[in-house]
Amino acid sequence: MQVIKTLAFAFGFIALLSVVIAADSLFSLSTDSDKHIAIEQLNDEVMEQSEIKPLVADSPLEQTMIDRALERHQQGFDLLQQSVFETATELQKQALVDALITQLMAQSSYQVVIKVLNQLTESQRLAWQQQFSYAISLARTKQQELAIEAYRTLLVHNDSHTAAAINLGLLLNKAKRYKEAQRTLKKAVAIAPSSKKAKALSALATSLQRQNKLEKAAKAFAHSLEYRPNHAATWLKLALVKVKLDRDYAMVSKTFERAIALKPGYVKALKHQAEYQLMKLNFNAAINYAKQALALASKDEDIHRILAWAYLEQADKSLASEQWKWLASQANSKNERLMAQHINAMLNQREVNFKAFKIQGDEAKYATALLAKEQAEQLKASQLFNQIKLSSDWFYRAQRQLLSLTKTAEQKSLLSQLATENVYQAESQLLKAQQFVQEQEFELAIGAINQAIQLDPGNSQFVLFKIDTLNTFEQHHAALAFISSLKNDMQSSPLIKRRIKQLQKIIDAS
Amino acid sequence: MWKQKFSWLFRFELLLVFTAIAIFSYFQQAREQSATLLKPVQSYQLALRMQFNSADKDVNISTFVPHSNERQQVLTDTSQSNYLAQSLFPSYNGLVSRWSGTAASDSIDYKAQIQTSGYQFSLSDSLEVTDIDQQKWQNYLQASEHIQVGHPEIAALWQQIQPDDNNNVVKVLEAIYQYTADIESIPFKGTTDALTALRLGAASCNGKSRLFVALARHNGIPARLVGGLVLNEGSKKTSHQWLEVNIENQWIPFDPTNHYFAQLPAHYLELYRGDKSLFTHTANIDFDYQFTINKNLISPALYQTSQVDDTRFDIARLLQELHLPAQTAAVFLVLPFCALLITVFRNLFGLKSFGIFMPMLVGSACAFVGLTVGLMGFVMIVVIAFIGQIALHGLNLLKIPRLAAIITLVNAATFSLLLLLDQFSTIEIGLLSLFPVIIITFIADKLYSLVEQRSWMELSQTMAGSAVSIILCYLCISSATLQGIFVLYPEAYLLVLAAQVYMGRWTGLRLTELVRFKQVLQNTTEQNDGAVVGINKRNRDFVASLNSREDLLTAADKLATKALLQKHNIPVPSTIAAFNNTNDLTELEQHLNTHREFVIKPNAGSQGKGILVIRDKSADGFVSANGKTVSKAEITKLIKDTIGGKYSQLEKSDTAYIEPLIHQHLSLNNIAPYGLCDIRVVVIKKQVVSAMLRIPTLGSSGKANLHQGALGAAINLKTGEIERCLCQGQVITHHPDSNAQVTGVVLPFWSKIVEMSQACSEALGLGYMGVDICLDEYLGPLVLELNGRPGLEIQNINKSGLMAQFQPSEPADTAFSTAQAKLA
Repeated sequence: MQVIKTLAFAFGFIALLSVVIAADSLFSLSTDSDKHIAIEQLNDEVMEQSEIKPLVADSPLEQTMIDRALERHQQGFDLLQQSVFETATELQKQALVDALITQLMAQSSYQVVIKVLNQLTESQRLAWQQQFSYAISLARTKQQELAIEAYRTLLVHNDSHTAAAINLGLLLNKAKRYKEAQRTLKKAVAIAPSSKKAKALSALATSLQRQNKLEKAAKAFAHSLEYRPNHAATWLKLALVKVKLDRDYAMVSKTFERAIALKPGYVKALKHQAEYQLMKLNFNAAINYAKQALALASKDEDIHRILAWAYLEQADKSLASEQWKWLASQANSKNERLMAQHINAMLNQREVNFKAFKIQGDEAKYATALLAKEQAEQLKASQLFNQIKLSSDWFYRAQRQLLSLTKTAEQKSLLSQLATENVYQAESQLLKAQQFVQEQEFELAIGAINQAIQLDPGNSQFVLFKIDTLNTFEQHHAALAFISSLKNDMQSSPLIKRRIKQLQKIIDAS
Repeated sequence: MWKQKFSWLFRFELLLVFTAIAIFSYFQQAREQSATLLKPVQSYQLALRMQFNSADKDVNISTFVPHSNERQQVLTDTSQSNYLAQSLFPSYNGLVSRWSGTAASDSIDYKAQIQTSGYQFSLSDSLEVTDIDQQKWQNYLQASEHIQVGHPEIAALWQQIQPDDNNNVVKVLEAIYQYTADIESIPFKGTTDALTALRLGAASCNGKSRLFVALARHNGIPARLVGGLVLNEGSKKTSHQWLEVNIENQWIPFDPTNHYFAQLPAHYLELYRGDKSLFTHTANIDFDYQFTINKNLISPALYQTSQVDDTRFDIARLLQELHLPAQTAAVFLVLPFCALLITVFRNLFGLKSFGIFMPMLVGSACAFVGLTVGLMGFVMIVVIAFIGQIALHGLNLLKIPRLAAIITLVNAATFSLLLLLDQFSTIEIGLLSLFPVIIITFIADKLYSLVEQRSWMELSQTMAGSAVSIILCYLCISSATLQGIFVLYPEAYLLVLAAQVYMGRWTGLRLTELVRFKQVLQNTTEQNDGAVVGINKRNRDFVASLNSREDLLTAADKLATKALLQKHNIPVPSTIAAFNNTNDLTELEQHLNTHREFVIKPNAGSQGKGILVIRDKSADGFVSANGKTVSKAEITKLIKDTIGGKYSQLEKSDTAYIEPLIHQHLSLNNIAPYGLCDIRVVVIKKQVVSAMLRIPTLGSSGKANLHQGALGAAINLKTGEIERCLCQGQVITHHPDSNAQVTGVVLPFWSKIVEMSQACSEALGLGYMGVDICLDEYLGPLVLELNGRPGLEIQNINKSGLMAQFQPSEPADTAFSTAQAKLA
C-alpha cells in the first residue's frame, strides 16, 4: 500500500509535469497558418492614408555673417585677417573657415585652400575638421609627399576616417609605395562603411596587383564588386587579373561581358575582350568585339591590329588585308608600318620590295614566322613559333600554327594537348576536324565539327566548314539538309547562299 | 490531537480548492477571450547591437526600428546606450530611432519582442491593369535614381518578356516575377539598381526588387520597395528587401529573391517602406552592427492586457504597472509552481540537490540567458567556488569568513568572465551573476565536504539531482502555457498552495526509499503495512511531533546529556576535563602529563568528526588509535579548533572535552579489535523498537560508521542475539577482517542495555531517539550519546520496519500507530 501510493503519486506528478512541458511544444507545432485575403475588382477607390512628418532640422548659424565675410574674402580681404573673424567665438571661427573652404573646394581653388589653411596650426586644422580638405588640396596640386603627410596626421587624430585612409592608399599606390598602400588600404577596408568599401577594396586590389599578388588582387576586386556591382571598370580590372591567372575561359569571358553590359560603349572593355578572344583562338568573337570597339573608336590602332590578326587567323584574306593596309599607313611606329606592309603583301601574294622590319617583340616574331611559313621556310617558322610559345599571350596561336608545320603524329599530340587547354574549345575541335579531313577520316571530321558547332552554334565559320566537308566527301544531299536545319538568319547569309547555289548545281549535274 | 490536526489541514486544503473552483466558475463568463489568450504564440526576440568609435565627436545614428501594423505587433521594446540620447519619430517610411550625443565610443542595444503573421493573397484572374490617378500614385509610379522606369533597356526587356495579354494584372505580375526570380542571385552588399540587375543578369535582393518595381511601374502598376529582416534564428548583418504592388487599393507583397508571389510569410519583419538605407550615421565612426534573432513561444496574456476585461483582476496589467518587464513578470508568476516542483522532487522523488531552492534560482537565470549558457554559468561558478575552497582550505579559516572570502573571489572571477564574454561573444550571463552566485558559493562548500569525505556516490547523485531540478525548473519557468494559466486564472495559485500544504503533510515513502528499503518492503505483509518509516514520516511524525526543540538541543550537547543521564544514574563515560575557551588550555598540560590514554571529543560534533583517540604515550608525544604519533602541539591545536567551532554541528563555538579511553568488552573485542563497537537502540515513546550493533572494520578506519564501511548487525530485541550482519549491503556471517563469527553472538548485558535505553527516554523526554551504547571491559554498558534524529538504515540492517515492533500501550498510541498505517 505504501509502495502503491508513492508510485501512484510519482507517476501522476510526472504525467502532469509532462503535459505542462509538452503543451508549449504541441502549440508550437500547430503554427498559425497565413491569413488568406482575396483581391477582387473594387468599385470604389479608397484614399490611402499616410503620415508624413518632417524630420527634426538642425538650427543654422548666423548665415548673413558668414556670407558677408566670404564676400569680403573674395574681394581680397583674407578671411582670417578680418575683424569679424578675430572677434568671433571659436565655434563661429570654425563655421567661417568651414564655409570658405567648402566654397573654395567647390571652385577647385586648391592653391587658395592651401594658402588659407596654412595660416592655421595643425591642431586647429584637426579640431576644425579641415585637415581632410587640406590633404586633398595638396594632392590635387601634385604635392604628393605633403599630401601623404597630411593624411597620416589626420589618421593619427582619427583612425576611423575612411576617406582619408582610402585617399592615402591611392596616393601611395600612385607613388608606387605598394606595400604601404596595401597596409593603409587594408585598414581602410576594415573601417569603411558599405558605401565606401568598394572603393577601398578596389584600391587595395590595385596595390596587390602591382605587387604581383594576383590571387589576392582578384579576391579584392571580387569583394569590391559585392559592394558596387554596377562598376564596369572594376569588372574589367577583375577580368584582366583573371586573364593573368589563366582562369577558366568561360568565366573570364563572362566577366568581360559583364563590364561591357554595364557600360555600353565601353571601348576599353570591348578591346580587351577582343584581345582575349583572339588569344584564346575564338577569332569570331574577337572580330565581333573588335568591330564593336572600332565603331566607337575608329582610329584606335590596337583595335585595328586585333581585327587584322583575327581576320588573318580566320583566313579571311580580303578583310585582313583591309586592316593591314590601314596599319601600314596609320600605325604609330615605323617598324610596325613596315611589318604591316609585309603582311599585306603576303596576303595579296605580292612581291616584297621594301626593307625588312625589325623583329622586336612577340608580334614581330609571329609575323616573321608567318611570313617564313608562307615562303615554305618551315624550319625557320617552326623555330620562331616555338620561341613565341614562351609568351603566354601568343602561346595558343603559335601552337595552332605549329600544327600545320609538324608531322601527323606530332599533330595528333598537339591537338590532344590543345583539347585540354584553357582555350576556346570549339576552335580546337575545328582544328581536329581539319586534321581528320586531311586524313580522309570523314566520320571523325564530321564528329569534331559537330562538337564545335554545339559549343558555338552561331559561328558561321564552323557551319561553312561542315558544309564544305560534306561537299568534299560528296555528301551533297546531307549538306543541303544541314543547311535547311540552320536558323533563318544564317541561311540568308551570302556565303551560305553561295554554297546552296553550288550544291544545287552539283546535285542537278549529277 | 492528531485527529484535530489532521482534519484541520485537510479542511484547509479543501477550502483552497473550492475557493479556486468558485472563483473560476464566477469569472468564467467574463473570460470569453481567455481561451485564445491561453494558447502560446510564436514570437521573435530581436536584438540589435550597434557600435562605433568616433574620436570623441558628435555622433548621430539613425535606423528604422520595428513598428506595429496589421501584420506585425511590437510587444515590448527597449533601448540602452551609455552616452547617446534616443529620440523616436514616425516618418513617411517607417519609425525612425535616432541616437545622438558626443562620445568616443559606445554601443547601443535595442531589443524588441515581436509577433508577426503571414499573409497570402489570392488575385482574381479578372483583375485588369487600369488607368489610375497619376498624381495620387505619383510616388509609386515615377522613376528614381535606382529605379530607372523610363529607360529604353527596361522598355526593351518588357517587350521581350511581356505576356500575350498584358492587360491582365496577374499575367503581367507573373511575367515580371518569373523574370526577376530567375535571374542569378548574387549576394551583392552594395546598392544594385534596376538597370544593373538587368545588364548583369544577376542581382541581390535589392537589385531584383528594384527591377521588379521598375517593370511594374513601367506597366502603370504602383509599386514600392519594402525593407526589413528575415527572422531566421541566429546572428546576421544583412537586411532584406522585397516589394509591394498596389492592386485595388491593397498593397500586395512579392519577393522574387526568396520566391514569394503575392505572399509574405510570418517570419518577415517590415522595417521601412521605400528605397531607403536601413542605417544612416555620422561619417568616419567605424560603425558596426549585428542583429540577433531568437524564436520563442510567449503567452499573449502577458502582453495583451487591453483585450482583457477591465473589471477583473489582471495580474499582467498589475505587473506592467510596476514596470516589470514581461520576461521578469513571467518568472515571477511561475515561481510558486517551481517551489511546488522542488517540494515534490525532494519529498516524493527523493531527488537530492545542492541547496533546496537553488535550482529555482538558477532555472530563473536560465530563463533569461538560455539553458545551455545558464548551465555553463552554473558549472563555472561552482568550479570557481570549489577552487576557492581548495585554495582557502589550507588557511584554516572559520566557516563564515571563509565563505565570505569565496563569495568575493567568485564575484571577481565572474566579473572578469563577463568582461571577456562581452568582448568576444554575444553570450550574456549578466543575470546569472546576481544572487545565485551567493547561493552557489554555499553549494560549493557542501560540494567540497562531499569531496573531502570521498562520498563520490552522494556527490554524483547530488549533482545529477541539481541538474535535473534546474532543467525542469527552467522548462516550467519558460513555459508560455503555464504563464498564461497563472495570468488568466490567478485562482490557480490557491490550487498550488493547496498542493504545497498537502505535500507538507505527506509522510509517504519517497521514490528513492522504495529502492533503498526494497528488501524490507518485500518482507512487508498486510498486517505490518506501514511499518517501514521513510524520512518524511520520520521528520514529521517522529522528530517534529515527539521531540521538543529544547530536548533536541540537549541531545546535541553531549556534556549536558551526560550530566542529565548521570543524574538519573545511567552509566556514562566520565569526563576528565572540559575546555570552553582558550583560557582553559592552561590545564591541558597537566591532564596530558597525567593520562597515557584518553579520547578528545567536541561537544557538539557529529559523524565522528573532531574525535582523537590516544592509546599510548611516546617519546615524541602520543600514539593515536591508528598508530600515528601525535604531538602535544597537535592536540592543543585540535582543542583550539574545537573551541572555535570547527567541528560543531551548530556552527558556533564549542567545548572540547577529554574522556578516558574505553576498553572494549572481550566478547566484542574478539569479533572486531579494530575499534570501539557501538550498539544503536531506537526508542519510540519509551519502547525499544529496533537495535543494531555497529562493528568497525579496517576499511572504516576503526570507526563504527556504516557509511564508511562498518558492519551493521541486527540484534534480536528479546534475546540480544545477533541474527544477521551486513557489510555494504551484503549479508555475511563472519567479520571480513578478523574472520570471527558474528551471527549467533549474544550480546552481554542485553537486558540492562534495554533498560538503560528506556531510562534515557525517560530522562531526556525525547519521544523518538537513538541511544548509542558501548560495552566497557570493566564498567559494562555505557551510554555514549543520544541522538534526536536517528537514521533509518537500521531498518535495512534488521530487514524490518521501525514500526513493526511498536506495541501501542495507550489508545493514543494505537491511534498513533494506526494513523501511521493510514498515512502510509
